[in-house]
Amino acid sequence: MSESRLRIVAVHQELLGTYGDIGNAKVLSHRAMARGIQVEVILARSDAPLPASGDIYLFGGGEDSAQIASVNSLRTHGGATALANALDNGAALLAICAGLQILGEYFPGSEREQVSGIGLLPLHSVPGDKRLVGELALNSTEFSKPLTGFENHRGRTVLADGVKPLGDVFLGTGNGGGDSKVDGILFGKVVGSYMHGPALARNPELADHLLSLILGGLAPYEDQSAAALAAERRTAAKLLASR
Amino acid sequence: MPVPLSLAITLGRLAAATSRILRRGEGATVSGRLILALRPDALASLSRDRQIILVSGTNGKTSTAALLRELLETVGEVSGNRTGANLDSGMVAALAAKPIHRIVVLEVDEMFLPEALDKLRPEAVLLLNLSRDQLHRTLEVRMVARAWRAAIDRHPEISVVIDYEDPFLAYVTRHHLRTTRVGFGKRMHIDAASCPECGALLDWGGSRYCCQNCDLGLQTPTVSAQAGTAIERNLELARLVANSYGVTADLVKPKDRIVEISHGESILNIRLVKNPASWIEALSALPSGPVILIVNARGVDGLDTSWLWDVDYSILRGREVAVTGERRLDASYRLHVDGVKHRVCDTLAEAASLFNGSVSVLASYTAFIAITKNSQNKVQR
Repeated sequence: MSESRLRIVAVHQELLGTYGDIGNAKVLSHRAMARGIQVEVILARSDAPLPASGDIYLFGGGEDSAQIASVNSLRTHGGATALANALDNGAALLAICAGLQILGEYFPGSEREQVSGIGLLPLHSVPGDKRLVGELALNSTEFSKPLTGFENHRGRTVLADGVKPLGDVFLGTGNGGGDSKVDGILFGKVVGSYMHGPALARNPELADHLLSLILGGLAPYEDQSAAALAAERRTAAKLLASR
Repeated sequence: MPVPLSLAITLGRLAAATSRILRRGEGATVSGRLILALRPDALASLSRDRQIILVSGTNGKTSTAALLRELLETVGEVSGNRTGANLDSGMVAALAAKPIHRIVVLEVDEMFLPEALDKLRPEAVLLLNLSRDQLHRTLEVRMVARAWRAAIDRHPEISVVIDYEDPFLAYVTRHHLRTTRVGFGKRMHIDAASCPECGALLDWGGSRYCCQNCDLGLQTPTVSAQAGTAIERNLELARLVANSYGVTADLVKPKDRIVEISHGESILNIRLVKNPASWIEALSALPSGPVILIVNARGVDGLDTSWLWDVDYSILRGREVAVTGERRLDASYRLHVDGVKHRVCDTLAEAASLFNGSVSVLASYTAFIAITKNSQNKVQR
């Protein structure tokens, strides 16, 4: 952590905030502050360069045109370099849905055309036929319990050979590219997923994982409200998967 | 040979009557579906030689269409889909229902509006607002806006009235000459940080949004009106439409879709909330007293609860609050993060029994329908 406070950068919320994505910043702040850590949430707008000194960068989901506007902004303002430097300096990053796609090599535009991403992550995305909408759940070796979310996307993401996904999907589709049923990516301190919107609200363990990437060992904190929601969604996911 | 339209309508009415006898609902949808199955051209045929006015938007369709009918009824008789069945079947049923009046006010589902414009050939269209709603069903706001604009552009003869403070409606009617743009003064829009036309960031710093790239928002409003709550603005829009039909009367009280149910010592004022925009509107207009939130996520509610995080609940801090509904744990954690103390209840009856006096209940669509359909069973102690 660069200063005495944790700096959370919500990137291009006006473009990549279609599905309550700001919730991830709120959940991270809430869980950090509950442990006595000071937090600053920075809303990084797309008409300016990204702040270089963030600790956790959050990329959310967005519509096709907004997604392209976001990647254009990153390109105009040297965003790829800024993010690469921040990651080199130990920052963490959460990329959801459209945010995950633009950080890869390329992704589909609204007319299925290929649009260049910023190439930060070893993945690319291609258009799919059917929009994938519904509950998504995965098992990950990194976490003690399944992760759950809601997916809503048309693009399919393909990870480069040997790149680790976030987890193995047992409900829904996730990345949808290639043969294996996996979701997202785990790449250094980058976590990516198609569990869209406020994924961290339903997955406190994932939220703490991001915090611990910056803060190291975390003081124990049991939030009954968060735990109850996470447990209920896991039960619902298992039930849906068994049908 | 096709079935004669009159026979199709008779059979449709019979189906509706049967549905009512079996207590399966008003029968509008059943009747409309049957008529459409027998005569796919029924929408166009039944609207011929009639004066059709359509009302569409994400929020406020049913209440605004009712206000507009009430205004128009001061000068003549009016037909309409009063029960809110706003797809093709509901509209056909309304057009076929007796007595048949020349003037028809129909509320139209957002996704169905383009087809309704093509088939019904309305004289006037009132567009209230456009924001995200049931993203799993209606796709994205921008896609809906694009479809609306293409449809409006196909019909230059139609008079359109819009709330100009909604950038999506400005975009939809940008090239439509017969548009009345009503300016209410700047009001932020949750989905319009970027321009619907060109994707550049909108500048919200001035007296209204404006795109610095393509000039969306720089047209002067045709009419300026006082701001106010959503229902007051919608009444103003309805009044402007009614004026062109010779209506001079005024309605004193705009009606909101609030249903009152008594429960023991308390009165539950139940209000429908169905997407982020209507939650924000409802929270900002809450009277004092306890509040119950009911959050479901099935079918028309939207299957996904992520929108909870787009709404700021801090206004509820320090108040008596309870949450219930199928997704009460999502709502509970959301309130918890916003620092709102609350109780989590398994049922509405349990939540209601916590409070006395007048209680505001904000209910998701399916919860609202369930409560108002059979209030006796739902809130008994």
